[in-house]
Amino acid sequence: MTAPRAPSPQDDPEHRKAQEERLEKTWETPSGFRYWSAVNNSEVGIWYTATSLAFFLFAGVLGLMIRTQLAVPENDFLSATFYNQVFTLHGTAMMFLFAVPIFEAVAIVILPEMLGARDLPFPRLSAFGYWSFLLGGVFVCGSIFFNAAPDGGWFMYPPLTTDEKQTGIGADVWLLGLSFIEVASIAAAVELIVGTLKCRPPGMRINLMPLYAWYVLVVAGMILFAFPPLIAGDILFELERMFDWPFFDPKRGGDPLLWQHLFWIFGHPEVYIVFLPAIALLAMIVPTFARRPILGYSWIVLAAVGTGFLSFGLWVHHMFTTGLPAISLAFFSAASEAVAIPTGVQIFVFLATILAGSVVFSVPMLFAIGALGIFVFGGLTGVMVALAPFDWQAHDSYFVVAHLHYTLVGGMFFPLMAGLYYFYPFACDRKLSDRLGKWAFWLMFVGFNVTFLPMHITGLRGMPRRVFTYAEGLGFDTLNMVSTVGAFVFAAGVLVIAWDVLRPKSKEPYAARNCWNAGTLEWLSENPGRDWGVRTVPIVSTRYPLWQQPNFMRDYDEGRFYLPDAEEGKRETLITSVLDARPIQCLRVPGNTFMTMGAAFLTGGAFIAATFYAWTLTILFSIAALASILVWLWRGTALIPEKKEKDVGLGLKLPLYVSGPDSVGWWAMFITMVGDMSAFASLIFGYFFYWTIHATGFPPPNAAGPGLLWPGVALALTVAAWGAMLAGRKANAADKPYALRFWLLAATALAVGGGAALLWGPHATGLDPTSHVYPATVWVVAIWTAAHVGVGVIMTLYCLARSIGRKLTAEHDIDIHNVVLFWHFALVTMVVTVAVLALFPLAVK
Amino acid sequence: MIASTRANLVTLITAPTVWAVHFLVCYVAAATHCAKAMADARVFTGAEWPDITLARFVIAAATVVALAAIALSSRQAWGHWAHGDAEPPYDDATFDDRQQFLGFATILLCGLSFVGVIFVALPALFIGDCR
Repeated sequence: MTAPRAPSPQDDPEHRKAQEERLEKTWETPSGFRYWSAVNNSEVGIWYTATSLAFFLFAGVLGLMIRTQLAVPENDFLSATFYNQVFTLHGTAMMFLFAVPIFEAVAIVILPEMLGARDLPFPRLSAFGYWSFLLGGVFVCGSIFFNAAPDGGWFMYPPLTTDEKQTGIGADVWLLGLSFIEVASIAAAVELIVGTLKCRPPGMRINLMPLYAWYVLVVAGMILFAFPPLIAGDILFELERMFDWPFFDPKRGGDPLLWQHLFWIFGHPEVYIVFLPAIALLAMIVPTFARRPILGYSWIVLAAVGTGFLSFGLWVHHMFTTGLPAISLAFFSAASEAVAIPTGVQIFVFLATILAGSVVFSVPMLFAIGALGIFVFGGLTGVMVALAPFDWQAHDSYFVVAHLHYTLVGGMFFPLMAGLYYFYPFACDRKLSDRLGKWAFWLMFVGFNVTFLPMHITGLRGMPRRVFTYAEGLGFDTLNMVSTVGAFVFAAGVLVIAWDVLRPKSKEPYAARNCWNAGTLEWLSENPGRDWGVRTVPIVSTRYPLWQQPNFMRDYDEGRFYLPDAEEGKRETLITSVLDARPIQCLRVPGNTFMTMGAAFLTGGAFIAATFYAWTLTILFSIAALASILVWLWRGTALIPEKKEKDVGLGLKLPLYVSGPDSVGWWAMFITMVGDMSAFASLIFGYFFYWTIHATGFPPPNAAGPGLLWPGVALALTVAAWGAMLAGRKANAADKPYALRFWLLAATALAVGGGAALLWGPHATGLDPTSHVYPATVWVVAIWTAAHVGVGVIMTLYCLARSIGRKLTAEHDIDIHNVVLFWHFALVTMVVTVAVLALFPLAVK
Repeated sequence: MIASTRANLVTLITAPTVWAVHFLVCYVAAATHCAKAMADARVFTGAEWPDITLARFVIAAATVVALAAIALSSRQAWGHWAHGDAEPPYDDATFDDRQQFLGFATILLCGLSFVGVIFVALPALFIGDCR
């Protein structure tokens, strides 16, 4: 399908020029200090990428400090306690501040244009996520300059880290700083899922979607199920550290193993959350340089989706030495072997594509092939440590350090460097140097292997990880020296790349358009880049439109597809249906603002103040953050357009305002709440975990609460509040604003009563959360649910205000649909809470 | 979700979802059984390791159900895949291409999930107690 050849207004060059000027003006990047108010994906994505690469360099320096300390036996370059901070922060920053955020960063940069969209549906949410990430990252990393960095290892095992004599404020920095960043990650996941499903260009059916988008979809979905358990774990952990609630204290019925479960339910999928998006870059790079479409598109989809699922069945393989029964270990061992199947499939698909094509060698390809080599090696040692008996020998030794660096550097870092060289001309208009790229590759490839290959032997000889030094003559001396030399060679390669990226290039020519001769939409972009993202939203009918659709680039440049103009001076992009990408809405996306930065800093302030136990400040910051978010929502969301429909070109008229399941906001709420439910499920998992380990019964025989009465009242009131919301939505649809407001007020009153009753139960029955893990667990579940009811109340009052402000009407009803959707989830949360807290104890009595 | 006559993203992930549920059932059955069978979850004090016959039955039943569900899903996907005029690699902009692509990808995922279920069930075949 090509654009129609009938006479079109686009035939007139003057007309096109006027359109381009309007588009330029609408999407213009602000200058001066206002530059930092930008929310467009091209700015936010670049900041995000640059910031996470900066954290990589920082964490890399920490890595070099580790290697320097270990170069010779009994070294005193770092003290033992400082060494603990260095290796903890090295792992923490690499994983939380580099590996995961860079996925979000790169996706924000390239995904919209790969999908022919002008922006993702929630640009301000991306900006909020970025500022949160920046603040949280600087806070966590900065702690080391005050000798206050976390020092309990990147997975923070209690009881070491719950002991305030052994670990200082660093543990709080870790827990609160990273929780804050995790929230930003979940925000990015919501944005990317909705973007992939709803912002594809017309015609790009699900079978034509670029493979990168498939991976983004899978990985963002994984984030929704992987990050919330860690947030739940962080909540339990902080409650123990701050208020002495004994979740991980065996003396009072707790169990440190629960933290390990929650951490690794996050931690193992996270490895794949890091790995898949990097492999996704290869799935774009390999076809370009093999000069042919990828072989086995469906097989890649199998691999991405299959890995996404299987990776959730692996977490206990980090806990093989904790004394769980052999049969439990064996399930995880089996799943760990099974995940090698889809992982291997992708490698074979890439190899087959390379073999079937005529390969053009280039720097990105060099990194891609190096990545496959290193990753396969790491994958094979992974199959070794997936076997429990082997793991018992290798656990906590340098063998594991070698294995994880082979998988992460081969599976993530090298593909990312391939992507950096590949996409640099797309993002920054000029090519990086081929000569420097080759130097960097060989320095890094050789340096990496010299560093980490000997570590397998160091580990098998018995050197434990995380020791700050070792005695002479144990057989570690030479191996460690070799590793250290290799690390500096590797670092030299990184420096070459850093120089290549940062060196001034203004005298160099711009890269040619589509300089790699690729086939996918993002390469339509011009150099120097234009602020509008895409000139026009194209009609796509193939997987590689630039290769397979005749006259595609010319039609695109002449604006012969959808939305070639910005008549009203509003930022717009197309929303399409999930499977077939039929156009369904012209979405107005919000423009630049400082509000998101303000909201992020205020939210961050609350987290940072809590780290120092400065409660008044925490509360003040929380209130200010809430206020700023409400202002942001009020002024920037569910905007009522000046007309119902808009002609988007080619004779198509689309609505400007849709609500309910058709709207992107509804999808975002739904997806967010799925993540929220997985955090809640983790808390409930904690309850039943304690039930399984308590031989004397859980609840303990003498436990009094929370009784049946107050939870029952809470449930009844919440059901009534939910019913009132449904009645309110109905009243609104019937255009009865006063009935709507009545029901909203009724829902508010009922919900406040429901939340209070739920908290009154454990209080009235005298459950003291510091006395034993049972009351602590009851309290945390009750508080979680009451807090959700509280958020529901705020949303309900927001709807009331919108109704009074005539921004919520029968015709314009986005807010009420989204809030009712929230209430569905809040109701489920309440039902499960009451069933577990009040009914389950009766059942097991 | 099995009854859908058109392939979509839900039919695509049916089989791996079955795998995940089966995995959880196996793990929860064995772990709960062993935790409850031993006086203290991780300290062995009895004369003999408690056996896990009951859990093994649960796992066997779950495995049969899971394999059957995956077989059903693959039969449905086969229907999506086999009916239509599209040719591999299903890269045209037609309904049939989309439907057959999803059908084929679903079959591949069914295969992986089938193997995965068997992998995960095998420990219960070989391990009979809580050691």
